[in-house]
Amino acid sequence: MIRRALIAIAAFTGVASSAHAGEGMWTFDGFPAARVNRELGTRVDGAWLDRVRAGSVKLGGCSASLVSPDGLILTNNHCVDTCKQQLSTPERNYGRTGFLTASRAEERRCPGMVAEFLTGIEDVTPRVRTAIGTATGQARIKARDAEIAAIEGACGSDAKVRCQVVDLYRGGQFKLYRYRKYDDVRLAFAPEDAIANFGGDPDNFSFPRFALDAAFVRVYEGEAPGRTPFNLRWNAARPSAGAPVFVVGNPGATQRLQTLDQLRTTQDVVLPIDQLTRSELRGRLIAFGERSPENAFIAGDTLYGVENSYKRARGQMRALTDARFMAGKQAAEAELRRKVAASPKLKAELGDPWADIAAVQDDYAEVYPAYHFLELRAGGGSSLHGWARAIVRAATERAKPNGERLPEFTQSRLPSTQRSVLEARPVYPALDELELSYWLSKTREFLTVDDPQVKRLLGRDSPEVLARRLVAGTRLGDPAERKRLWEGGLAAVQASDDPLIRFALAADADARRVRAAWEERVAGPTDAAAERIARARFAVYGDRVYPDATGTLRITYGRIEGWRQDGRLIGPFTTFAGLYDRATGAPPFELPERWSASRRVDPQTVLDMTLSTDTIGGSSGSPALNAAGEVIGANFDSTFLSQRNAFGYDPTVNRSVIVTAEAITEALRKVYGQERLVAELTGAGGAGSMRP
Amino acid sequence: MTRPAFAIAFAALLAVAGPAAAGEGMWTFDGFPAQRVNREFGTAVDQAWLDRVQAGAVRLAGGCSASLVSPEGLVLTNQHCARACAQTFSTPENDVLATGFSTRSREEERTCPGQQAEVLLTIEDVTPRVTAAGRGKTGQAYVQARDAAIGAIEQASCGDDPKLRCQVVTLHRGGQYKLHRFRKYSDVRLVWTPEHQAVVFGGDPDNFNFPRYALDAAFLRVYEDGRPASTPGHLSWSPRAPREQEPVFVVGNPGSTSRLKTVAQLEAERDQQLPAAIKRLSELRGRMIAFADAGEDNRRITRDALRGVENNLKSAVGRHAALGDRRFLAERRAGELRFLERTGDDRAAVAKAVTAIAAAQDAAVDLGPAYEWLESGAGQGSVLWGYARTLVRAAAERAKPAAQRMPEYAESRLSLLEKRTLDPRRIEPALEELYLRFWLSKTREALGTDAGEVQALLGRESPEALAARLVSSTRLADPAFRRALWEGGPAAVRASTDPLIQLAIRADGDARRVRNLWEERVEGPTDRNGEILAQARFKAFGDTTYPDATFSPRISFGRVEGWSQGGRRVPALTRISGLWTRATGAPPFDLAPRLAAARDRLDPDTVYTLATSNDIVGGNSGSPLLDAQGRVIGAIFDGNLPSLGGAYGYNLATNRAVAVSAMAVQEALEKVYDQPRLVAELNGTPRP
Repeated sequence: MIRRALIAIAAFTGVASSAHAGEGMWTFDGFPAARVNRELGTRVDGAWLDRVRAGSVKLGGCSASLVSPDGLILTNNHCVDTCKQQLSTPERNYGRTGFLTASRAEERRCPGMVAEFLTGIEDVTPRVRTAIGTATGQARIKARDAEIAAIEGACGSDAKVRCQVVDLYRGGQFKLYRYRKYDDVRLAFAPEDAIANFGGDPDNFSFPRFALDAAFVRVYEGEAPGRTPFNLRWNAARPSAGAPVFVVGNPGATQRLQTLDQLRTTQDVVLPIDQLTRSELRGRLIAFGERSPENAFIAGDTLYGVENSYKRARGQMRALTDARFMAGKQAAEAELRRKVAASPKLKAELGDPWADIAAVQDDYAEVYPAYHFLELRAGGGSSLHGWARAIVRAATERAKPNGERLPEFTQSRLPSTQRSVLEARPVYPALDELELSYWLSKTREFLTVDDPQVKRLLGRDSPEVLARRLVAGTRLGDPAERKRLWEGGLAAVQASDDPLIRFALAADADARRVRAAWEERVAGPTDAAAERIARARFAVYGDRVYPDATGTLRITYGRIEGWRQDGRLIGPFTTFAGLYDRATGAPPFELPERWSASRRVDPQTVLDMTLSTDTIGGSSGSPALNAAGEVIGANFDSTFLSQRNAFGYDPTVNRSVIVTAEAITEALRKVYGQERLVAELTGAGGAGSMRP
Repeated sequence: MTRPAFAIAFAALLAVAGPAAAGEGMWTFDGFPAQRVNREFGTAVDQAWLDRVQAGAVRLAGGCSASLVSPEGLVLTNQHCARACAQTFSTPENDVLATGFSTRSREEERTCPGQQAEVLLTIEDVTPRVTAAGRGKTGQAYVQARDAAIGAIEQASCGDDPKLRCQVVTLHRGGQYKLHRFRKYSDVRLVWTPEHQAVVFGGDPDNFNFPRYALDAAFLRVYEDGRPASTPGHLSWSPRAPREQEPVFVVGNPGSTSRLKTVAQLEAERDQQLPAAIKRLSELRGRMIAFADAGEDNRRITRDALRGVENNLKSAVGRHAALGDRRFLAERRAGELRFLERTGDDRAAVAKAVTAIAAAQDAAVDLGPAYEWLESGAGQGSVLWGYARTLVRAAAERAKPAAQRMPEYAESRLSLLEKRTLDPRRIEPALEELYLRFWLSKTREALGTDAGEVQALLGRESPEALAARLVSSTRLADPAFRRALWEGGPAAVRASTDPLIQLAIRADGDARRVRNLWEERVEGPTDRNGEILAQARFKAFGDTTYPDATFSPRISFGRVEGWSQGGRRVPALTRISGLWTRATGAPPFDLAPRLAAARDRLDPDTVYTLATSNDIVGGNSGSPLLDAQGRVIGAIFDGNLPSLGGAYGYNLATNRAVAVSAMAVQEALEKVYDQPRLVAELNGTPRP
């Protein structure tokens, strides 16, 4: 178990002036190339960055890289878990067998999966700022979202293009990101879950680690593989410690620019609710899975996600209750506030946004439970409920002018919402029932049984009975019925007697009301103050600061290196030999048969490694690149102590965990007999022509 | 969930010390502020009154309170205090917990496994003897010397008298040590419980809520030599309607409060202990709920344990919310500074003690997970594991001289331990397996797969496979098997091939090691410095304040009264008519069948439950609610949500105890459950 006593506070700056070596999830238009080249001895320039960007892929909530001219994409197995699960049945379970293809014809489309390549970034800050003007509260959010919808809408209706205005520096900048998108993404290769996720939850966020968490998908256009103009080169050579390395991907969210008061609210309000609800859901899923192998299959993917989030939040809580870590955050905030206070001009212009944010925190604590249960997490993960709500809301929202819609239903975002609703995918009613009944019971628990919103939600039913009735009676599992309602619009929705549609319709008013209260009392004032803090930071530190992660493309740099823990040096590499040592035969330390039956792989192959790069959830699948920009692995995890990364980068302990191109190549060849893929990766007619 | 409004009553809040507010205080019988209470409430409490009340109050060794209510050993408590007992008599064919346990004659009363009833006889100050033993010692040496002195005092005072129990209670976090002598009854039988659903109506949603509609009462009887014990000192039963604002007293055994803890200790609760407990209980709850969902029998064997888990969870969430109020902690911090300013010459020593306690909390962060999963929470509720550990340790400890034993194996404590280990008891293997799976997997999660302690537990097995093997092949469910090991001592235990015994042996070295570290670095420094702080508090403020709760007999005073919540007035009394209104028919708001069937017979105006401003906490469950004359007008069974913050401070404006009225209990005995014999016994009238 890792302890907290490791952090050298002197070396840790939180969000202060300039970033550390290794620190920063940099945008491609703000990468400090000169400084990085100086530190690492690399030769990163504009052309290098353009090339790397062109080979980087956003894959839903994950990252990936293009590794062949025929649209082959490397990502993590856990990024295609849901796809694998959806292509599987309890009888033909790809999680257990792996997904292997003998030819491209056997590659199978992943429902709902989209691959996107960032093609351009444009600054639209002035437009958004002007639109916001002096509006406050919910009006501020509406004005901002309307302008964003207009900008995104102006991109046109090319189905191959997606536009997204990204809010950077918490309102400090607004940038229009333009993507080339592929919505036919097919699974080409995935290993067995038992090797991809070897060690299971116990080893998750741990290192040494022994997981082959890699998979390949391919983009298609029409029925042919996408002919992509550029791909990254594959380098399966053995990595060496100390080598410079870059990770390029789409880190999801960090809270490094939040004030101390916001972090306290995270500690006192948000994480406690999150962790309590996850813990019980985890327990329910585990016991549900224990009832039968079929149940275990049904609950597996969801359970994995819950356990992952739970462990990550545990690491975050560790950081927030770590006095030394928080002292670093305090020092950084105090420094910025001091510098603002010392400048009459800044003081006059910005006021005291920290105090403004502090003033919002009581409202946050008051509104958050209802916002969380009725809006943010409504349905508790049930896909049936998710479809019902999307169909009900889309019917209302599509009737409105673009600028007045909820952001997720604006012209530019509607296609992806539509796809997620209409795409065929398997439904497991028992899982939906579990999720719905759990959500209803937790909503009642947190908002309390006599709350009018709870009474409207449940009527005179119990959560269990209501969930059973909704799931048993709904026809939304049928994609044709979803299509009919989606296309039929408000009239069809209002005429529907589907119990889940009726339920979502009835629940919508309260959900919208609490969302409005949230925007008016919490999000609006917070955004307004955060934007002024961003301006303060630019004024004091210039553009030497990087923005919080926003699920968009970033590049981070570092070296292949281990770290020191409890006085012990942990090396950066694990090998196949270590994997075999760790296998006990009892799950989750049990090898799949292909691996246990005979040991064909070179035991000295480097399997996983750690990098001092700055990554977070969403970075999964990101290519790890060497100085030449070649793919040497795929990021799939970080260490437990790295979870403080949400709040600040700590160079002594933050480590990204990578599965190496070397191990992937070795396994494709020796374990899976995928010479065809290896040849494609190495750009050779046959095996063996590795480029240096 | 409402946050306790601590800000309201800071002035009234006993921070580190200071005068107690009206209603505040879980007072010891030798420190009750009778004069002040009589002045404020117009009562006439004197020593005779206190003696009478003390003689009728009962502590139940399972963690509850109760009262003697007839001359023939009849005991009133909560159904939830007798639930584990009723559960052990429940079978799929005859589910007596669900239908209610009732008896037509005394012969049908059944002994509750492991239960013991205790009535306080005397309190004696032994502070000088205990502090002398610990003087000059630190860390684990201090803990061992103190515990050895305590064990010796207990043994010397009660010897092996089977009717007595002696216990030295630590008060004021080490400021005082008081020897409590109890009259004990180790044959406690179940007499009557209502239908389960009548008690858990409203379920977890209504738990810690008020208005409340729960018939949470039960009767037990203490036996001696196979016959009902003669208990002339019983309290009198008064099934009348309680009145708003009337003075009332609660006599019982509040379990634990943290009011005298330092800010560093409270922060440790907020940041470490409570979050860990909440996550642990939540996952266990989820596992139990999904397990119960798999079938009626699973539901039956899980319900009692699940209810306990949910109760503990809700309580922990409420306490965490109280500590999440940063203004509350800021006020406590200021209180600590004010205290420091009043310590005069002792100031340096006090500051040093406060710092040492803070350092011990840091050590607790490091040691906490191992201590919790290997020692204090090992087994996570598995009864079989509890037997295995006790048998393994008792064999080792009983062979040692008294002064070197772990305190729970001191001579004075062995008889209760033996009873709890050897009493026949129903075991539910599926539930046992669930607990063990949970314990083993969470231990691996907390300590890491590669920890030596974890590998010692699991070997190369998965938690699931190991749990299944242990439960299916252990013989510890058989009381004769347990007796053979208890009596066979170290040789028998060592020779045993029982897999659970072997696991307990394998785990014992690591568990003892972490316990030693815990005593050396956490418990020792905390307790030793706690003594210093307590002495300084006595010097600064006198010793007229009340100590933190320690599951020893206490008395609290208050009134029958409601409170205001979000501008809304919550009245003090509920009536049976309110139950019919609240019932929706959907669980947990469905009516118990017999209760529903009696609807027309029941007087709708009967006071069902009531809220009072008495200062109580978990452990008080089952406590008699007494009127000014000392007559039983109800039984405490819960507190309201704001009372959960009562762990850290009492707030007169919002803290409320919740009781079921004697009036409602009698109404149900007469008109729902057809118990004229019990009604006659309670009221001292001729038997029907």
